[in-house]
Amino acid sequence: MYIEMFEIITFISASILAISSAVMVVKTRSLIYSALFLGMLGVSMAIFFALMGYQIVSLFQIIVYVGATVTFIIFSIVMLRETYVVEVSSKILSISTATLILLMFTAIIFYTTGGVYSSTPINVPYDKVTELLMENYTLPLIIVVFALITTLIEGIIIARKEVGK
Amino acid sequence: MIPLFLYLFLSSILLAIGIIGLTINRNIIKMLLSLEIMFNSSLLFLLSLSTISNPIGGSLIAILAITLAGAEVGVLVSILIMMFRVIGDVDVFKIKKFRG
Repeated sequence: MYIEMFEIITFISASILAISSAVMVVKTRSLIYSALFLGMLGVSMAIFFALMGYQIVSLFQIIVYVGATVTFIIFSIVMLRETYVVEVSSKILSISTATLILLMFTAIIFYTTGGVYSSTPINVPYDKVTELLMENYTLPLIIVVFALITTLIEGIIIARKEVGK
Repeated sequence: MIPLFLYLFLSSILLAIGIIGLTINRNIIKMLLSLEIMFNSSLLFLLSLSTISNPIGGSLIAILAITLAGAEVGVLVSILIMMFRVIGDVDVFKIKKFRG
């Protein structure tokens, strides 16, 4: 009983945090604050993953996404000087398009799941995850490693050009 | 026990906010941040749907996707830093000057 209540309170507060930080990412004029709100959105996503039972994905989200990706964005914004945030004049079209997509998604979700399923916290065995990752998902793992090496090389090239200037 | 519908509806709301941010901004960094909102919403969608079908497969795909998102952000950020050095601005309407 108490655990269920705690789960519901955590879900509601994480939902409020996620939606408000997503709105602030779009609305704030300062790019640094936008990136910081994106980090808060990543933390709220990690809370949702932990609520569903994906503890290892939740830790991965905080360490890799918030700790590396968002920090990388913040440092790159610092490298640029302050730029103007210009918005297009016709916001009505984009807002109506987004509302239409939201309504379509809601209808699809309602017809496919229909409130029948409920997300009970699942138990993902970590040893099975690592075993599958090393045995069945070897090629995606190699591709990810190459993508990360590419990013590292790009970072080195940008830093060298900055020094040469 | 939280209904699955709520997770999916929340991810749809985040997707809509990301689409609004992507279409109303001309600054390429703001567009990148809006794309990241959409990425987070799709990750929530994937994981909440995989709770009823294949949790291990969903968590594996999520781990790979988070890592690839880091690499993708690195590529995009280096492109926009090069763009800023060449044309001195990050407005997508001035990207024509970046060709060739």
